[in-house]
Amino acid sequence: MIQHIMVRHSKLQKQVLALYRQFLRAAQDKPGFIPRIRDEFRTNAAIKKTDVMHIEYLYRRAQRQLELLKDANTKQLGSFSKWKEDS
Amino acid sequence: MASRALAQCVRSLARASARLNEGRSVCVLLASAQRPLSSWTCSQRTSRTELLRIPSPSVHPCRLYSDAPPLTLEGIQERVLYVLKLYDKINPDVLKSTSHFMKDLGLDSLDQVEIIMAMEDEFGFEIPDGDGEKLMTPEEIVTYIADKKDVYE
Repeated sequence: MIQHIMVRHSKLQKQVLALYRQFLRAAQDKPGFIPRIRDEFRTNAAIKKTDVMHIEYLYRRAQRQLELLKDANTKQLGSFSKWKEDS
Repeated sequence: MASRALAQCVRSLARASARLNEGRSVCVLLASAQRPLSSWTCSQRTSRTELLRIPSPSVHPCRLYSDAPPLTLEGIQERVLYVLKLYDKINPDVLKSTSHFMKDLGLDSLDQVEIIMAMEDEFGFEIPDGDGEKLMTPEEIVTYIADKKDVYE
């Protein structure tokens, strides 16, 4: 979906980029969201441009998540990760 | 009351300065002070303050408002390059004013959105999506901002 030498964005690409911008703006004051947002968008950037169904599904899902993020009751995001055992 | 005491002091000062015929700046200060004080003091005294109003037609009191220093092209370029150097995906040694984000620096459109958002935060005004996605080099960003902020050289 993301080419390296970008000439013109398609309508869907523009929508995705606008959504990315809205996410970053909404997450500015709430700790822990920005790395997650960036990771999610970056891994999904590998999806082929032709796979419109998948992209649109992710786009609708993201819009719902953006509404949750914008809600004043959402404060921060944390995650659990597994301890690496040394011995 | 404090206002009456202040009015008394101002009037005595005014009388003294009228006699000595001091510089205009003092007259201006008193002239500007007379107006608010005359409204505070009670009605019996307003006639006396009115008589002591010192005319100073040439010098007018002025208010000085402060604003940020005016932008220059070099200033804008410096700030743009500084913000770009702080971005972790850009190698600061390779960065030049003409380096293309996608072709030279190897960024993609998501990074470009982040860069434009950083520029919005730096300069304090909104860059619409349509304009923002076209800006591909630091040079273009500088010309765009100079265009929007009316900076001519």
